[in-house]
Amino acid sequence: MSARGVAQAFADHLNSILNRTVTDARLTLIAARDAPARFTLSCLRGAEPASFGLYGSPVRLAVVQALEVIGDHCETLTYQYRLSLGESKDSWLIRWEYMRRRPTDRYPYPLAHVHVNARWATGSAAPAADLSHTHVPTRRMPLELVLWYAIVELHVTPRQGSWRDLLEESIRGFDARRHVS
Amino acid sequence: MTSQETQAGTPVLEMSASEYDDFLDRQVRTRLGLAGEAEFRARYLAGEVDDSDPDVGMLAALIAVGQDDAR
Repeated sequence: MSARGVAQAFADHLNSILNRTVTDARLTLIAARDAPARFTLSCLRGAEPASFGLYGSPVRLAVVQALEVIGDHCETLTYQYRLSLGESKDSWLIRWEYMRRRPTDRYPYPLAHVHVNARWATGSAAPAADLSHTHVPTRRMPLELVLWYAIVELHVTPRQGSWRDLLEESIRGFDARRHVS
Repeated sequence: MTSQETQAGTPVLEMSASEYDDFLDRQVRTRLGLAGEAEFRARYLAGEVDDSDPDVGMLAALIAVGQDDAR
């Protein structure tokens, strides 16, 4: 299968998960002709990356994910999964971010981390008053767990009762791909 | 720029190199007010952008800053 075919299959899979669980929106696969193995996934409004609505909730999700096709599978180079309460950037709630490679030796943060739009309850006792400035470490996060969190904790209405089985099966695939790459 | 769909309905947007550069430059200009991708990349690598701004993380992911030899 061509690199384009591999990337399309991955994008089709993620869209299938999204559309069977939390949204009618679709991610677009963006391909640049001079980089045949590199792709970007994002929901576009016109030609602009944009957040999309989730069923039964004011919560929105924005996805930007850069991919590189290696052989017959996609490797994630970067992602940002951002949950928000509106379209303005100030309305963000939580965002998960990842880089496969440290962009510079001076970049001191964990490559997979989460930012939370909140302040420490302890106020001035914390070294950074604003949690949004801190990079809370995580493992690399499958998008499926963000959807799971949105359903369980943010009261997004799942499209079907079997959402949990769907997400669990897809996460097993994520784990299997991680062990391959 | 060409737009297609996979058989499963995933939109696929294919851009030439110059269209893709313009796309990235536009995202940087409209979201952060910087000149374009090159300035963002340089400032990001120098630690000169505030990544508590959600658009900084978004642009770093979109541009895949520092991921040119990721394996």
